[in-house]
Formats: sequence, structure tokens, C-alpha cells
Amino acid sequence: MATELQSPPQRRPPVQLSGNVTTAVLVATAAADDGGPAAALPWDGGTLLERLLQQMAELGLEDVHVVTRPQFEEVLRPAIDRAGAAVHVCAGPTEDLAAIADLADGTTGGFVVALADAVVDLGALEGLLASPGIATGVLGTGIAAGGTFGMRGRLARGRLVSASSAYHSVSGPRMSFLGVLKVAAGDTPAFAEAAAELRDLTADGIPEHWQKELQHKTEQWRMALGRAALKAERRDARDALEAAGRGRDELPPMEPEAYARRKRELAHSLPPDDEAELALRYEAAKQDVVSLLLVGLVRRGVHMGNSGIRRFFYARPLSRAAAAEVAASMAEHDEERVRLNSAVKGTDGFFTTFFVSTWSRYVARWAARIGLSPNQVTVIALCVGTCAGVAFATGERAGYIAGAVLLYLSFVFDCVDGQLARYTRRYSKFGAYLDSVFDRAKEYIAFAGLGIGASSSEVWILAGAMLTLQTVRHSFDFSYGATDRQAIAETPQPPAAQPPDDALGRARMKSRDTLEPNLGLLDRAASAAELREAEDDESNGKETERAVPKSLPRRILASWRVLDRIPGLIWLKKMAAFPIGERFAVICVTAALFTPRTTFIVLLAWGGFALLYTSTGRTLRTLAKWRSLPR
Amino acid sequence: MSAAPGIAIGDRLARAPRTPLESYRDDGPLARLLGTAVGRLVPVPPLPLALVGLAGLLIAIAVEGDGASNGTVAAAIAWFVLWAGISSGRPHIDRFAWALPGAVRVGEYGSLIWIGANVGESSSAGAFALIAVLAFRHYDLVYRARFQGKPPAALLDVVLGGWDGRLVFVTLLLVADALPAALFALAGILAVVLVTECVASWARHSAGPVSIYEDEEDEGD
Repeated sequence: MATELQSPPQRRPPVQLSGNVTTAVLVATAAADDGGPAAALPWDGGTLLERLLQQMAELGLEDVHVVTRPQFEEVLRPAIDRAGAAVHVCAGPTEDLAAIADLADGTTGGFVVALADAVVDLGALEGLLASPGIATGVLGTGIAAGGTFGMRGRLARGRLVSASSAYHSVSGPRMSFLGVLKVAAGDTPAFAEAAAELRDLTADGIPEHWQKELQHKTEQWRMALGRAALKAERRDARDALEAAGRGRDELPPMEPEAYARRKRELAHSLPPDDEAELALRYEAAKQDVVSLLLVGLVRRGVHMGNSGIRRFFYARPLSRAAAAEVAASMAEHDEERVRLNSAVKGTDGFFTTFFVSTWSRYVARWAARIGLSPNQVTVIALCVGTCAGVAFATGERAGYIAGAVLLYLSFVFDCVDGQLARYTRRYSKFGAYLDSVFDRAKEYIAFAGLGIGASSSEVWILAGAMLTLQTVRHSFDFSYGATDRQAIAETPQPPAAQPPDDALGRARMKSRDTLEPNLGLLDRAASAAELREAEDDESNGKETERAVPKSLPRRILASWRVLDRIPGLIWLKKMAAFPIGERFAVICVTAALFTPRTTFIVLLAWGGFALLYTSTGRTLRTLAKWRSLPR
Repeated sequence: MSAAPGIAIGDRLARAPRTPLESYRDDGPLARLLGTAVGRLVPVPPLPLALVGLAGLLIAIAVEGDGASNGTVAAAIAWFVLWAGISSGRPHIDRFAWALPGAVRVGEYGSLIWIGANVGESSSAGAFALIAVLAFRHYDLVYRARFQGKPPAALLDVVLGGWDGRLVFVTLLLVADALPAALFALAGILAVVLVTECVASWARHSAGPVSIYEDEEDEGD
């Protein structure tokens, strides 16, 4: 197995892109530390831009455009010509936006827009571009993984509802945007309008209130660097204590005021490297029309999905040294391995994660090698599940045991089909439908088998009750999701001309300008929060939370979320909701060891608890939101 | 009476549900008629209405168990159909509207299990068969909208009778002493209709640009 894991990646057929994406726009406008384009930083015998152009070709994109600056044209032109791409030489962001607006106006296909100096795995790009689950969307990651200088966003039910640019801010950010944007063909007109709108907004120079937002953002970056420096300082002090034979925890915690003061001191006396990086990022942010376009789309109410980078690689180096560092860490990174691991869903429950996905991914790879399609695996899973039902129906102990084993296997195949689809990027809507329906069918076939096996009226009633419970449970899931999505879709977006994303943000912006005394209070709260974070050593440039007065349901929900920090508890919470893996495990174990009656009683007890548990959570959330959908 | 209400009722019966919640309920012509005729006269959100109906039904089930007379069963089901039917006519826009399709399912499946238990042995198996087929219908309503971009044919709402029509029909079969055979027959007929329509719809379906979203939170959050 170990040697197999290191086997060289096979050549893959080009993936089928969803959203009818036909055009790629690579934005090579950021400068590196040497004054040249960051896209021309050396990479593996070529440049970052060449790498990305190569990836576009591997994705089957032929209509590729590179947007760049006059002073960068000479350096980049040869690579662009070699790749057969078009070049747009623009004097500044307004001209970039004008060029992109013209491109979008003249095309009916979809777009992918990316920073030309990003280092990203092909697998991550495929995740965004090939998934039918994402029409228009972005490549994103967690807020910490996005780094200090990353542009942020906020998700609601997987939908991006707020995004930031150099000149726009996000309240309550929850994700980072990784500079790759996909626009499905259906949204191309909205994309053209967004580009044109932003072009007009910036035509007479960047408005003053936009400038203020960028200054604020730069100050936040500076403070984040100061905080990192302070953490390093305290770590050094702890190391020194340890070296002197004393405990690391003997370092006294800092008072909030002292902490904030020291952080500010350090932030304003950063080492030259940090200052240089800050200056580079500031300039790069001003040239970044990709996040500006993203804000334009979000503010127009376009449905934006988010494709998580999962464990794939992403970096955006802006200096020769940083590029070399990235190349070094990339050398240790096995994309093939990551591709397989990231085929496993991140949201699976305990049983699926630890008793199925541990080995099902290898079955998925094996299935890929022998050329099975995800749909074939789905059908195999149903056949095995039906056999399990037949075995249960014998009513013999041997049958129950055989049925349990078969049902477990059918569940493994059931995980394999999705993993195979993600691994080979062979998605289809019919496949997704079949998978969903057959998942339910297998479970209910097992119920029927157990009912026939027990052949008593009581067990049939219990089986019917469990089927009802499970269907009702899913009905609540679907309906709550539908209501939530509708409410999200109907929440109005502020215009792109406005830097903050909501009324609360506007008020905060105002207080920043006019209510100086309030800043002290905010700062005190922020430093207290930072102190806590610094002490448990897991902070990462979180922006201040919105200070909304909390109602009782909100407070209960908040403290319930806090519990997630206790290791292991997240798994317990997942198990309490009785996800599919746990349900199959209960059926297998109780059917093999006991009688069908026991199976249904355990299923009903656990399922009933789960229904109560999830419904309570939703009722609290409904009360907290207090919303009413407009007719 | 002027022609206007008649047209409105006709429209209401023929038109496809507008919102996902209305579609997930799986109302038939009878429920829609009740909703249109009576629903607009009661200025109450739909959930309390449906819960009044459901509470009556569940109390009857709890009190009578598997020894209820046909009259009691018929009365309890009529009570549920009446109230839950009326609730279909109220706008599903309040903050607890998400509980409605689930509440209707509890009443529908619960009634069928109760009827099966009252008749005896193989009727319970028949009731299970019928609700298993109906479960396909109710998942199909959701998954087809999600993966095909449109819900199953609106004609099915009438052909399958909706939860309301099926409950009335099975109650009539109970009174006519046609159970348990009729339960299996009904399950078989419904399965054929549902699967045929589903296969036909996928055969017709072209892989057009439908925007869907993978809802990873279906298993609760």
C-alpha cells in the first residue's frame, strides 16, 4: 500500500466544466518586490503565469486573456504568446474593469477570473470549475488559512452573502477568498454589468470613502502583524523561562491595556521584512480587480457558491524569496494523495469518518482504475443493499448476520460513489439524484427485510413508525433549508458604491470617523478578546465581532457553539443528530446480535432523540431570527 | 354566486405550487379546495391549524390504539384532513412554516399505520408497503426539484390524489372491508405510476444549465 500511495499521477482526461465556462481572464497586475510583475516570479523553470496558463490548457480552456500593466507587458508577453492567449494592457484598475466588461459583453459563455500570481493545485481549480453544485462561485478557505492579507467573505448556507475588496468590508467574516472566481454562462450578463458599474464608480479616481476603507484595512493588517510579533515575543519569553529550568506557564498574563499598548508599539515598529510585505500587499490590493468584481457580483444578488480548497495547495507569493519558500513547501506536497483524501466529504459523521472513509477512498481509487463510473457504483450499492434486505427477510440468525455484513458493504459502496465522483470529477445531476434516492431506498429496504424476517404485526408497526420518523426528519431538514435559503435570497444587498456590507457596518464606519471616544471602548473589548486568543494560541486575525444585543435564544445558541471547542464534543454533537452512518451501524449491529424488534426500538429511541434535538435547535434559531418571508 | 370564485378555485386546483414548502406538502385537490374555500377566512398562520388537526388524530390513536372502530378512524382522519387541508390555503411565509410538510407527513403516515394496526396482521405490512411507496414520492418531490431544476409533473398532484385524497380513499377501502389486499394493490399501482413518470422525466431531461446546490446539511445541523 505504501508504495502504491507514492505512485506517479496518471494522466487524466480533461474534466467536464460546469456552468459552460469558456473564457479565462488572468489578472497579472500585482507587482513583486523587484518591481516586476508578481506573475513573472520564477517557478519550476518557468514563471507563475506560465504555470497558470498551463493549468488553463489542462482544463480545456482555449479562450484565455491576460490583463496586465504597460510596464509588465515586455516581461510577460513571450509566455502569453506561446500559450496563444490574448493580452490586454491596461493603465489601471478602471481600464482593467472596462476591458473585462467588454469581454463579458461580447461572450455568451461563462468566465473564470483569477489572480495570475496565485499558486494553486489543479485539483482545487477543478473542484470549483467542474462541480455542478456550483454555478457561479469562488474558491475559498477558512478564515485562518486565508492568511493575514486575504480578502474575506461571509457564507450563509454555503452561499457567499458578503465579500470584501480593498475598498469593501465584511461584517462577521467567516471565510477567505482565494482569488479565483467562476461565473456561469447564465450570470455573464450580470458579470458584465458589475464590471461596467465598478468601472464607472472608479472612473474619476477612487472615491474618498473607499480610500478610508483601504486605510482601515491596512491598519488592521499592521495590527495583525503587531499581534503576531507580540505572540512571538511572548513565546520567546516562555522559551527563555524553560531554558532557565522554570515552567512555561510562569510568564504572567498581560493586562488588556498593556497588551494593546505593546501590540501597537510592535505594529508601528515592524521589522523591515514585515514593512516591505505590508507595502507590497497594500499595492497589490489596489490592483486586485478580482475581489472587486466579486463584491460587484455579490452586491447584485448573484447566487455565489463556495468551493472549499479542502487540503489542496494555495499561496500568493509577492517576492522572489516567498516564491522560493512556496516552491519548497510545494515539493513536499503530493497532489495525487491530496486529491484522494479531499474526495472524502468533510461533513461526514463519526461512523462514516472512522469506519468507512478510512478505507473506502482506496476502493474509490480502485474503482477509478478499473474504469467504473460513479453511477455504476451507486447501482452496485443498491444491489448489495437489496441482497441485505433479502438476507434479513429469511428471519434466521445466519441471515441477520449476513444481512448486517452486506448492509455495511452497501453503505461503503454508497460512500465510494460520491468519493469516486469527486476524485475523478465525473459529476452528473442524474447521478446525484440516483445516489440520493438509492440511499433512502437501501435504508427502507433493510426495514422491509427485517419486517418480513420478524413477520409480526408489532414489528411492521415499529418499522412503519421508524420510516415515518426518518421521512419526517428529512422533511424538516429540506423545508428548513428551503425557508432559510429563500430568506437569504430575499435579503437585500447594499450597492457596490458602499464600502460596508450592511447598515450596522455603516454605523461602525461613521463611529470610526466621528466618535473617537468610543474607539477606546471598542479597543478595550478587542484587546481582551485578543488576550484570550493569544493565551490559547489559536488566534488568526479575526475582525471584531458585531456587537448585537443578544436575545435569549441567541445566547443559548452561542454558548452551544462554544461547546464545539471542546475536543471530541463535535463528534458527540454529530452523533446526536443520528446521521446516516450511525443509522446503518445501528441496523447492522443490532440485527446481527439481537432481533428486528430490538433494531427498531433502538432506531426509534435514537432517531426520536435526534428529531427532538435538531428541532429544538431549529426552533431556537427561528426564534433568534424572528423572520417573516415577504410574500 | 359570481363566476370569479369558481375561476379562482379552478386556478388553485390546477396550478403548480409556487414555493418549495407548498410543493413538499403534496396537497391534492381536496386539500386545495378546503384551503381556498375556508383557508382565506381564517386569519391564522398555517402551523396552528395543521397542529389542531394533528393533535385530534394523535389523541384518537393514543386513546383507541389498535382497537378503534371504523367510525372512530374515519372521524379522526376526517378531522385531520379538514384542518390540515384548511392550512394549505394559508400563506406559508411565517417563521415556523418549515414545520408544515413534516406535520402533514406525520398525520398521513400515522393514519395509514393506524388503519393497518386496526385491521390486523398483514394489514400492517400493507400499510408499511404503502408508506414506503409514498416516501419515494415525497423524497422525489425534493430531489427532482434539486437535481432537475423542476418538481415532478403537476398532473401527479391530481392523479395521486395528494395526501388528503389518499387518506379519504384508504378510509373508504377500510369501511368497504377491502383491506389488507387493497393496501398492497394501491402500493403497487402508485409505485408503477411514480416510477414510470420519474423515468420518463429523466429520459426527457436534457443536461441544461440548471444551477443546483449541494446541501451538505441535509442530515441536520
